[in-house]
Amino acid sequence: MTGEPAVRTVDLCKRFGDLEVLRGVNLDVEPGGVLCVIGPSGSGKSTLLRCLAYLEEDFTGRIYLEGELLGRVERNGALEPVQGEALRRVQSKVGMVFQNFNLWPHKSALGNIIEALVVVKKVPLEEAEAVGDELLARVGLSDKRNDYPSRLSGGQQQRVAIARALAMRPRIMLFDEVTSALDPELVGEVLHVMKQLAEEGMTMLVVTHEMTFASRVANRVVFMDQGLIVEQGAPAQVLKNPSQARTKEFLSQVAHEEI
Amino acid sequence: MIYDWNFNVVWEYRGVYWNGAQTTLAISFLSLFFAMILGLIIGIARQSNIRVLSIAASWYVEIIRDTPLLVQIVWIFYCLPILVGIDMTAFWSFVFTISVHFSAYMAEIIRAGIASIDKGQTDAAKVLGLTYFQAMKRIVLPQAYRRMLPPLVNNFADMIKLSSLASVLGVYELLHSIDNIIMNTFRPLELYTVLAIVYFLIIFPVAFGARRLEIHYAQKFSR
Ligand SMILES: Nc1ncnc2c1ncn2[C@@H]1O[C@H](COP(=O)(O)OP(=O)(O)O)[C@@H](O)[C@H]1O
Ligand SMILES: [Mg+2]
Repeated sequence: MTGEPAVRTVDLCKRFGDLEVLRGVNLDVEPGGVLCVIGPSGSGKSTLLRCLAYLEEDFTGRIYLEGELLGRVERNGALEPVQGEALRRVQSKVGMVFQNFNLWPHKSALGNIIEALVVVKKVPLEEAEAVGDELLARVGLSDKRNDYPSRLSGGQQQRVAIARALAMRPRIMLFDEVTSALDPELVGEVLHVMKQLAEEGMTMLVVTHEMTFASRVANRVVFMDQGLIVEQGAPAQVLKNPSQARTKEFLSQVAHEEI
Repeated sequence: MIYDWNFNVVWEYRGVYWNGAQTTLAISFLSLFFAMILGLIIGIARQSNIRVLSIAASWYVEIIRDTPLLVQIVWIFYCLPILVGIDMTAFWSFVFTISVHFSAYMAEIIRAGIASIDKGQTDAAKVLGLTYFQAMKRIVLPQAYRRMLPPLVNNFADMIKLSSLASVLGVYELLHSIDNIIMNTFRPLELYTVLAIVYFLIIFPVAFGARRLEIHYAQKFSR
């Protein structure tokens, strides 16, 4: 499948009751690309990622992951939902990291990381633990192997959450404001892990308010507002020299907050 | 009031207390077991996205909560066998009724316990590929049981008390066994007084345990 984008959405729409949250999002992310999504609160950024992870199942439009339709099958020109293995094969291409970590409090750091390996992939425990230890080393937390989430700092919890997602060997990683719940001094360690991942060639969609990270690590930036992509392009262009008035307004507000 | 207490009769019939207590405990533990299984199924069904399931489970709970237990006991013993052609002994008919009755309350406890767990917990599980039931079993229930345990133990204390209703079907649990010897000995004061004490000795540790658990988990969560 050469030339396929890693992620493609076509006219993606999502509504909650009467509220239209995504109103036709068309997006391409090249393999190995890092796309940062910025935009005001309530613009639909989380919902976009949740659709890509199939946590929101009831969207219209199409999502292609590496050229394969997510959660739908085309029959006689119409899209029908699919379940089971056909869904799982495509859905397993994505890993997701959340703003509030969502670690499982009754499992240790290692336990969190290997859970899905053991339960979903049926990897033997010893093998799974070896993978887990490797990932813990990669996020710099080998010494926290047996600690429970409540004993870890926010930054450490978020790094465990990243390792947990990586354990399933996703092709695409989704990050939803993963540093927003952290104390300022802990943001750096998480961004560092994400930067490494980007350098290793992982395809990433990153919703963030960290404009420095976006300008240094992203190769594309998308500005969303009210369920639509208002502007997209290279970071230098969107962040430094936006063409749309709404982007300018948003960026000036963010800049004021950061002072 | 002058009454000539004579507790010899109690000692003489201690075997009856013993056998009655065994039947009472058998009813209570069997009912607890079946009520928990049924309650878990109904509780999960109420929480499920499948509307038919959740509506059916809601009605199950509603019907059971809005009819008297005693009526359920006699209906299941006298009417159900005629309607479905299954014969149950009085003992098993009663265990069945108590299990069904309490499953409605346990379902509520289990539903509330499940609902208390943050949705992010299952979101994370779902993206990693765990099925609904894997997430329930390995992620949600192990966290929710702390909230469910104290009220479940309280319900168990109630089950032991209500097991005395089996006497209306002629099951020789504690109450009915003692009624039976009172007919021969005419010593209700001694026999009923000791009966109450025996019930207390069985139920108190359970109720006490429930209270301890409540305090234990309340402290754990307030931290
Ligand atoms: N489960 C939901 N039910 C109803 N409304 C929702 C739900 N999730 C999000 N929304 C609404 O959708 C809009 C977009 O939300 P979200 O995608 O979280 O925005 P963002 O992440 O950009 O802040 C908001 O108005 C929010 O209130
Ligand atoms: Mg959001």
